[in-house]
Amino acid sequence: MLYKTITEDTQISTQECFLMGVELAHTANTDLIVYDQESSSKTAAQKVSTTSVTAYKRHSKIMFPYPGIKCKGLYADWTAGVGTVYYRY
Amino acid sequence: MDIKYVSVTANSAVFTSGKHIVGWETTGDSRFSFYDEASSTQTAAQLCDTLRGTSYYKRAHIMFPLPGLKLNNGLYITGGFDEGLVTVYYHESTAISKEDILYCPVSEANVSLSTQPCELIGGDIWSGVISVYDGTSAVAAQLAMTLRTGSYFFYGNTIFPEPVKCNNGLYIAGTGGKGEIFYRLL
Repeated sequence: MLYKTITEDTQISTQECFLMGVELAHTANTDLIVYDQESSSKTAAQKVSTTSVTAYKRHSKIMFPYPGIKCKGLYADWTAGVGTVYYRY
Repeated sequence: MDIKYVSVTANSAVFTSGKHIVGWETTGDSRFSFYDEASSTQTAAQLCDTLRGTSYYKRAHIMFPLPGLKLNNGLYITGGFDEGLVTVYYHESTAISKEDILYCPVSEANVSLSTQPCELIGGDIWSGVISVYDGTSAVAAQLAMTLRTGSYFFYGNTIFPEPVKCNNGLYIAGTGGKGEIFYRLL
């Protein structure tokens, strides 16, 4: 399994891969949205996962069972905080 | 087996036939109800899960171990789509497995789920307190799981890393609590 640290909008993969999990940490409201996209377009119907934190809950994660969620690519829409996306080919 | 997803943005019949659910996540300050149904009937006994966000934390999710939560009829989702959306993770396999996860809705009343040995997979809550006992009544020493909501977070769930063997049956003390229990029959 691979990981990608997210501190800005990031094209994680441009080819078929499997999303295994997402985590996010911050001290204020923010989201990390992962799209099933080979490019930076943000289509609502291809939103695979939205991870959020608030001032009341400062760490959040979602982990998927093996083999993960099959995607044609992965794009991370970042707002603030530090995130990590876990994936595999 | 490919695990797929579908993003849902309005009350709708997402599936009209049986599926295995790997999990779902919701966004927004509101409650979403998931029915094992192919249409909008919303039968209480077929309420298979509920997730509830709050203004303090506008998100909720639960993931089930494979082969997943078994839905027999389809999936109808209703809830606060004016503020959020739902993503459903699932796979298409229709093979029936003794590992399939079953659901039991809890709405404040006590439920004697089984008098036979069961495996407790976990549970989900969106209001109050739910206590699950290994037995046919509420015996303090056989309390297997407790779920409770708080003032800021109106949802909580537990999925055990491996099923909890309940050799004496499953009894749910649901007084004051609303949610769902996930289990397997042995």
